[in-house]
Parts: sequence; C-alpha cells; structure tokens
Amino acid sequence: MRWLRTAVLALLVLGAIGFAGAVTAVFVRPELMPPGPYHPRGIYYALRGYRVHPWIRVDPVKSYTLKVWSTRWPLFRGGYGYDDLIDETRADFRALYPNVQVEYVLLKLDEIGDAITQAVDNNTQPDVCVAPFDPSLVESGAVVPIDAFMDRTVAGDAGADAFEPRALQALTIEGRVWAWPSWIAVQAWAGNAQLLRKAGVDVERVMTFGWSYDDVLAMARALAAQQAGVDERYRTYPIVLETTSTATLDTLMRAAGKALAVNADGSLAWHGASLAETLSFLEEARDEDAFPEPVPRMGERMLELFWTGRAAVIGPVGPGFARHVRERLERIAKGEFPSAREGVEPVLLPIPHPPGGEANSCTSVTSVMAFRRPGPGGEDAARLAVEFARQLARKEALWLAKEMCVVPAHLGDRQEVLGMIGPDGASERFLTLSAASGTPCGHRSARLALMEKDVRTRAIAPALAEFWEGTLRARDFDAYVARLLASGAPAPERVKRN
Amino acid sequence: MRDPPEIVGGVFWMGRRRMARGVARGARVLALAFLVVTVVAAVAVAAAAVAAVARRVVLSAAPGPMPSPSAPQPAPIAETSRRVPASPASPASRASHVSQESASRPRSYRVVVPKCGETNRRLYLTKPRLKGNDVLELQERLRALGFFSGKPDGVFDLSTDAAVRAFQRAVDLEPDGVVTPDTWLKMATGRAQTLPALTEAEMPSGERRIVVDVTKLTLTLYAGDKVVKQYPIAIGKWHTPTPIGEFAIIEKDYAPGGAFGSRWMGLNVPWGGYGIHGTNRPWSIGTAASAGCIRMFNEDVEELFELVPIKTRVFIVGYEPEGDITRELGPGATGQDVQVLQYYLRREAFDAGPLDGRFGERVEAAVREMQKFYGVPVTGRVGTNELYLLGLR
Repeated sequence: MRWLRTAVLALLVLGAIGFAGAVTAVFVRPELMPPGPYHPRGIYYALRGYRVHPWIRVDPVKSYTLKVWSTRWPLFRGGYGYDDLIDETRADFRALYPNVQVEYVLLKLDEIGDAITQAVDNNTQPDVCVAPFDPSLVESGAVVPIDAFMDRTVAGDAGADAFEPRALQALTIEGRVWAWPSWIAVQAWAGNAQLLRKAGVDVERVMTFGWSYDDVLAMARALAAQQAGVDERYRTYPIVLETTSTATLDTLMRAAGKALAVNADGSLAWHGASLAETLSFLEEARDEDAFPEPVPRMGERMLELFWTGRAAVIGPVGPGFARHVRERLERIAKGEFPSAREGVEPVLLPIPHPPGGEANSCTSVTSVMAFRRPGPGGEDAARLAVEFARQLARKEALWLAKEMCVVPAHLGDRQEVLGMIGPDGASERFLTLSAASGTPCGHRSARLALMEKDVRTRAIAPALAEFWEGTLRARDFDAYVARLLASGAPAPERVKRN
Repeated sequence: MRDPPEIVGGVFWMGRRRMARGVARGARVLALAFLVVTVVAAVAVAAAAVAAVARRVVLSAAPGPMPSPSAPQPAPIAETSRRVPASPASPASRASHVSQESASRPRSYRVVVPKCGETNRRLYLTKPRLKGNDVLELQERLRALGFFSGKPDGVFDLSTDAAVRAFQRAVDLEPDGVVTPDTWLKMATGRAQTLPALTEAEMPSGERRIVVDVTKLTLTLYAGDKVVKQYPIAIGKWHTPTPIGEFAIIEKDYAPGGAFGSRWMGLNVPWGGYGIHGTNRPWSIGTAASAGCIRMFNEDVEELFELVPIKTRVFIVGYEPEGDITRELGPGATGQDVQVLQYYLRREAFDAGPLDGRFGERVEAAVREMQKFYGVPVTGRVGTNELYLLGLR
C-alpha cells in the first residue's frame, strides 16, 4: 500500500505542479485560454478591483447593442464626413463581433459635456461617450477604468507606453486610467508671420519658446511706429482679441499658470498680483492703441482684419482654425479670392506669459469613456464598450488631426498625420511640443467645477465686460469682483447642495 | 398770273379779305378739334373710373381661403390687375375644402393672389408696347407653331401682332390681335396628362412630401420613402428662377384661372409669392418657361391638389441657392440671403435646418456652433467673421 500512497502523492504533486505551470503559462500567455470567469488574468484583475477586464467572456450567440454618444464634427472633405467615419468604425467592430450592434447619438459640440453629466446623474448614461475628460464623472462610479485593457499581453499597440504621457496623466485618478485618450487640443493665438517679422519678432523662436507680455507690447509699439500717419481705414492693428467672453482672459491666465479661477479649497484663485499683471498688460496694450475700436466688439472683425493683412495677432483661436486656414489658402491658390492679400502668412502662436515666467501651455484632452450600465451584471457589455472606445478613440483622432489643430494622443498614430497638423510645419511643431509639455486644465471634482462656473458667470464675466468697455481699470478689478461675489446673487442649485 | 397757294407758304400772296376768311375758318376748326378731344378724354376718364369701381366690388365679394399667418403678404391687388377667377367649383365644395384645411380659422373673403410673376392680362398691340414673360412665351409658342419668325424678345410689337392675327385666322378665331385665354387654349396641342391618375385610396402611408428637381424638370410625390408619382413640370426662366430650398404648402386655391390653370398651391417662400399651379400653356411643361413658379398640367395639378394637404413639405432641389449676403443677419431675418447662409452652413456640416430663408432658432444654434468651433466671438449673428468662415468673403 505504501507504493500506492507514494504514487497518489506523486500524482498530486505532479498535478499541482502541472496546474501551477498551466496557470502560469496562461497568465503569461492569456490567449492560451478562452476568456471566462476562471481565467487567471481575469482573476488577477478581479482581485485588484477591476470588474471589467479583457477576460470577461462575450457570449457569441447573445445580441449586444452599444449606445455611443459623440459629437457631429462639422467637417466634410472630399465626400468624407463624420458619418462615414462612424460607419467605418462600426463595420470594423462588427467584423470582430458580428453580434454587436452600435447605435450612435450625435450631439452638438457645446452640448455633450452637460448631457453626459446629466445622464450620469440620472443613471441613463450611454455605453461609450466621446467628450473632453471630466474627472467629476469618475465620482459617479459609472465610468469603467481601462488599465486592464492596457495590459501588455492584450494591448497590442495600445499599451500605456503607446500614448502621450501627459494625456494619460490627465485621465489618471487614484492610479487608474479612466478613459482612452483620443486627441489633445492646445490653446493658441494666431498670427500673421509676415507682419510679425516686420515688427522685429523672431516668429520661429516665439513658436518654440513662447513670448512674454513685454515681447507682445514691443511688437505692438514697433507696428504702431510704422503706422504713424496712416489713415484709420488702412491701419494695421497689432492685436485683435475676443472681448465678448472670458476666453481671452482664460487663455492668458492659464499661460500665467493660473488655469482656474477657483482654488482646490474653494477660495478665489484669480486675484492679486497675477491677475493684476495680466490685466495691466491688456490695459497697456489698449493705451498703446494696439486694439481696433470699438474694443468691446473688436473680435467680431478679427478674421476680416487678419485676412486683409491688417492684424498681426488674433486670439484665441479654436481647434477649427487650422481647417479654416487650410481651406482658405487652398481657395486663394486656386484664384477664388482674387482680392486676397499676398502678405498673410498664418501661424499658430503660444499665448503670451508674464515677464520672467515661463511659457505654460494649457491643453485639453478629449477622451473616449466607457460606462457601466446601471444594475448588476453587464460586465460583458462593458468590456465590449471599452474595446469599441479604444477603436473609436484612435480612428477619430487620426481623422480630426488631418482636419484641425489637434494632436493624436497615440504616439504611433501621430507619425501618420505629421505634415497635416497645423497650418504649416512650424505650427505643427508648436502644437506637438505643446501637447507633450502642456498642462491639462480642469477641476478634479464636480463641486469645484460648479464653483468655477458660478464665479465666472457671476463675477468675472461682468467685471471683464466693464474692463473692456474702459469703465473698470485693472487695479480696481479685484475689488469689483469681490464686491460682485459678496453681493449675494444666488448661486446655482447644485453648488448649494454640494 | 397763277393763283397763290391757299394753305402753306402763300400768306404773302393773299388778299386781305381772303386772309380774314381763312383765319376765321381756322379758328372754327381748332375750336371743334378742342371740343372733340375734351369729350373723348372725359369719356375715357369716366370709363376708367367705372372699371376701377367695378373691380373693387368684385374683389371684395369673392370668397377664398385665408392665407396662414406665416404666408407672405400678397402684393397690392391693383398692381397686376389680377381678377378673381370665376371659380367653376361650386361654393359648397369650396367651402368644404376651406373647412378641411383651416377648420379653426374664420372664413375670410380675402383673395389668394399668386405672385410668382405670372399674369392673366390680355395681350395686344398698344403703346407703350406690352412687355413681359407672357409676351415672350407667346412669341416662343407662335414661333414653334410657325406663325412668328422674329427673335422672341418679350415685346408685343407689330410682328407679334401680325403673327397673332395669322394664328387666329388659322384656328377660326376672330383675327383681332388680342390674346385672350381662348387664344392661349387654341395654342395647346397634344395631351396634357402624362401619367396614370392616382386617387387618395391608392396612396401609401407615410408623411407626404414633394420633391421638385429643377434640373430634371420633375415633381415627385413621396409617401414616406416611397415614390408615389412623378410629374413633368415647367420651372422658372434663367432670369426668373424657381427658388431653391425647403418650403411648405401654405395655401390652396381652386381654379385660380388663366395662367394659373385649375389649381394653385402657394409656398412659404419668404421673398416672393411662389407656388405650384396649373397652366393655360401646357406646351411649356418640360421647359424653363415660368416666372419662378412650378407649372404643371392642369390634370396633374388637380390630382396632386387632392393628395397633399396644407403644410406638406416641398423640397426644391437642383442647384445651389444663389445670392450674396450684404447685411448683418440675426435672429428674425428672412430672405434669400438667409437661405444662402443656411445653404453654406449646411455645406460646412452645421445643422441649419431646412433651406427656408428664415433665421430661426436652428440657424442661430448652427451659427453659434460654428463660432465656437472656429473660436471667434459667439454672438449668434452673422457678420464679417462668419462670412470669412463660410468662404463668402
């Protein structure tokens, strides 16, 4: 009997060794075992708290429907538009999963942020949403972290090291990545390189290293000196800014390192020396006659002045500006605008920063988020959602980067579109450099995001309107804002609740 | 010695007595002529006054459906002297039709006055010469029939008059040179209706809409996504083009008569009174002949009239809306320039709604979206920035 016991023991030991070996083998090479609840990698990620991971089994006979929210990008070139991109993405995914239907809801550019917040609040979120990343959504628990899908054994060329580190950093909260980074938009002004060179500006240097308020004012003075005696109708203006909203101040404050008007502790961040310095710069530019009149509405003529060669710098410009420039230059080349000025050489420029400081680019990362459906179960659908989100994020970024001033977050894909980002090579370098070094702006909590909105609406915007009208000086701005905030105007409902 | 001439150039040769007699006779002749002219003028003025009063009486008594509040206001009635058609439909049928279309609206005695430039005037030789699209059409038709050999120029001159008289003689009409509805009808040849008739019972379910293709000269009736029937049409001439865009039927009228044929369906084109109507010039179907309206065979328009209710959407497609934007556009603006704006916004993939020439909420939202996308001030209005963005400057 002794030999029998020994044999059984040996068998058990061998079995255990074999099992351990098999588990290890599957752990190292997960494709050796089909996905399911006993997959070692799946168990590993489940133990780490990931309910959704790539080793959740997708039932091949079950029908799945993924709901996707996205933005209808107003881009159409060569007979190809966003609808075609959607169809392509859908077809690609169906080739992998024939039992998955994808339904799209396309929202307007400025609606999607609020819509997804509201949907998450009401537990009616879609499976996938393309939107600028909003960290406050993570608090809801509905967003699926995607780290497990970046596992090197399954990620392919979509591992963590394949993306722009700054973009991933923007999407990481408490050590987890919460969305697939798609593309990065950089805040910029635009300039006419020819005019800037005439004013003594080293344009390429500015695009690489940034420029300070003093540099801008020096440019304005140089241009003004050249304009002496020129009739108002033919004058060239150094700077034409957007003055109907807070966009100009936003970009300047972000470049000054004060991206947000409200601090993490809820106190006002836009006050004191940094705000005064920025406003003084604008005030000085105004005193130097750098702006066209009427200053409160100068932005409404910015493109006319720019394309007629009468504006050296305009700003801020949106991501669609590159598309506008490209289209217009193409049409000018075709002779469709016979009266177009020869001397307009559009370039993207960094936002100026305070003297002595450093150029501080501010970026925003648009991501593709996957959501869990309310209630128990649904991990298989969530896995499909994450995989679809990955595919969509890259396809959309590639397409948009060919059309707008945006940089794909995927480093490999970026190679494919080099030569297409930005209106020219120098602008492209500026954008890619800024995407790599820029700081993502935005609050990390819903409460602060709402406070920010409230402070801007209730105090900053009205004060800025007075400032542009010329009835409020830079030195009085702080006190005016404080007075408005203290005046007791009701805050939005959600701010009170939080 | 020869007798000096009595009338011209002989006054120095006349004796004094004869001269006095001549002066007296001349004065009598002048006085008589003056009297005759005065009487004729008085009679003419009186006749014109009586005619104007009679027209006003007729207009004020004629019943008709009331245009919807969004309908464009009709032109001053007296301008084109368009008479109220003597409707062949019975008052009962007309009343029931009006009650179907606008049950909640009060009955009105306002006249639907089509304004697409078609006129029902009589054409004849007069001074100043009659000019217009109708004269041009007349000349073209007479030329096609072999009675007019000149170049159609839209002026009713002596050669046109001669051609009309020749035609009238050929068709046993009184050769008076006056082109009346009878003359027009005599010019028609061939069959009018080209397709099998359709009844309400045969209509498939689904929203009914009309698509007019000005390049193919067809009007297609859809029910849902199904093509129900396609009709041949005539569209506007190059200098009076049919408006491109997305409109709706806002008024219907039985038997407008004359150039408008047997039915009229008015569209809510903000910059003019355009519509779909029948014709008394059926040969023009299949050509660019109208003043901008969509002309159909009378039989076809009668059928279509019964199949499409008021508010039916009408899509007129075929080429880009033309025009320029020369003013700042904002909410509430209407016109062809707004339609051009809508067209360009849509071409840039911004959802500006139907090409109806109205700057409503949807257009404003599209403008705002565009402004935000490009990073220019978000005003919701269209100024120079927006024209540059749309490639219009």
